[in-house]
Amino acid sequence: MPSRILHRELKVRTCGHGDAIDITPLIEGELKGIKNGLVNIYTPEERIALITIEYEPRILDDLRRYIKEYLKICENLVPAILGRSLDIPLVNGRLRLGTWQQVVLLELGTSSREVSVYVTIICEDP
Amino acid sequence: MSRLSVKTRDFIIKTYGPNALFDVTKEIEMFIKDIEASTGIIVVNVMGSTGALVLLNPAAIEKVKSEELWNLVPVNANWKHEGNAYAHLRSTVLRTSLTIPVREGKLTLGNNRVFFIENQCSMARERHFYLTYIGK
Repeated sequence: MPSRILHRELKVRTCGHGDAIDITPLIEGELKGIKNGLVNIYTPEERIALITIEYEPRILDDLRRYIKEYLKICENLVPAILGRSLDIPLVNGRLRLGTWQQVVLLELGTSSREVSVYVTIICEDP
Repeated sequence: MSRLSVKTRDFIIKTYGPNALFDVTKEIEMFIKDIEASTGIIVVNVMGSTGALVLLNPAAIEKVKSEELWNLVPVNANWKHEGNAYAHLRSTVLRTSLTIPVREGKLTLGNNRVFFIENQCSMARERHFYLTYIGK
């Protein structure tokens, strides 16, 4: 099946250092009408990481502690280590993730701000 | 320019763990062969938030299993999430997706293989993989 490429830009507001936002519904909301394909989610923003994780308060606290204690020797590299882009299949209009797996934007900077997330979809022609 | 196509396949493996590695390269190679892929990329995803996908030289497996995974995220560090916080953190740090170029119908792996890391303490757990090929 031949393919086409679509793109979207999301604006996400963070609430300062350590804020973790589940952006899975936002992304799926932007993909309405598209059934199958591959979704690349990327941010060029400084001090932002895009990760998959179970969106659960204690796990998110454990991740914050892991970054603070285990990655403290390389603070500027944290977004590079955790990653700033993800490739996730889109199947029947939903991101193909595990039940307890969400796409999470992690604020590693200090203050509240609005950040851009670029979503690129390679999908089958309708 | 010839048009690209998108092709997909899913498969399941049974795993045990923790700290066990499973070579899934053959399943990916079989897909590439079946769809007669020539030039493109393959994106390998595994569902779930406790496993990980890595490209590794098989010679490194023993050290990864016996030392490096324990060093990456210790199991017992008074994590707040009870039971398997270490598995979630390893999964997030190592990630659950790999993108590999395909050239002349072959995966470009060098001396590496594609391994799934089972971090969970489990027996006969089903792990679901999803392959997406984009190319000619």
